Amino acid sequence: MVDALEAVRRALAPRGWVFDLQPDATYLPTVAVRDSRGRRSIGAIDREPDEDVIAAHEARERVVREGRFEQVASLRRTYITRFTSLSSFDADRRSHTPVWRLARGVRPRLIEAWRARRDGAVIETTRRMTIAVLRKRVG
Amino acid sequence: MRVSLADLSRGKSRAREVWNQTPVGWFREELGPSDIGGYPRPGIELRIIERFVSLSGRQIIEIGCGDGRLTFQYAPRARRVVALDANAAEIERARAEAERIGARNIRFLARPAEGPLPGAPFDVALFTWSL
Repeated sequence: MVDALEAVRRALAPRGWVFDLQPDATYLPTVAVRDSRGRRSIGAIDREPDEDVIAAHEARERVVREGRFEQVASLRRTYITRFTSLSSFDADRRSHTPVWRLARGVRPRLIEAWRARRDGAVIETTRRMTIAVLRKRVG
Repeated sequence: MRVSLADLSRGKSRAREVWNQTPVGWFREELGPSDIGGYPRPGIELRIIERFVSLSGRQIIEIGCGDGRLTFQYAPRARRVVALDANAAEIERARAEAERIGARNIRFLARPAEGPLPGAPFDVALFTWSL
């Protein structure tokens, strides 16, 4: 990603902006079931560190450290994604590298909550992203 | 085209197919794209970005655009957009959607971000979940 940042730096106008949106490097997503009765928290998802994510954050820090960009801000934001079935939730969970695993006891609680759901229920995962704001240095 | 909730429950791959065949507006109103993947709801990322700089009238390059999930959110107000992704299949889907909705100011390219980038200079670069 350092090469990509350098290519972008060359293509940016003076004082051009870079916004780097990535998953937060280290955080534990949580899972909940929401229906007409409200939100029921189920538990945490084991999320092993993703080397690609860590490398992306390190690359950005490096180009800032080397003076190629100025870091204007680095924000963290929590957001929720929703799934309308267990299978779509599992498909997303398995799409991650390493695969997201449910913490001990979470799977049975999730299945029980999903069986008892009311109309319009969704499975919610709470996640965290970072938004780094950089500007091209001139000179 | 009408897509039922049952269609969406057959896993991410099927959901992505549905997404790719479904008008963006319908999906936003009925479910929200967050039902099919790990991204924030439409508008969240742009609201954060535009706390720093308005994207209106800007020349923008996006790295890792995928199927244009974010691109189609901001492109209507950008001056022009060059959007890259190394995944040719995703770019094909993005191009098809651009054609379908008549987006004329977006150039989708199937290529990595390394090396000289076409269309410079740009005012804003977006790295969107690109690792």
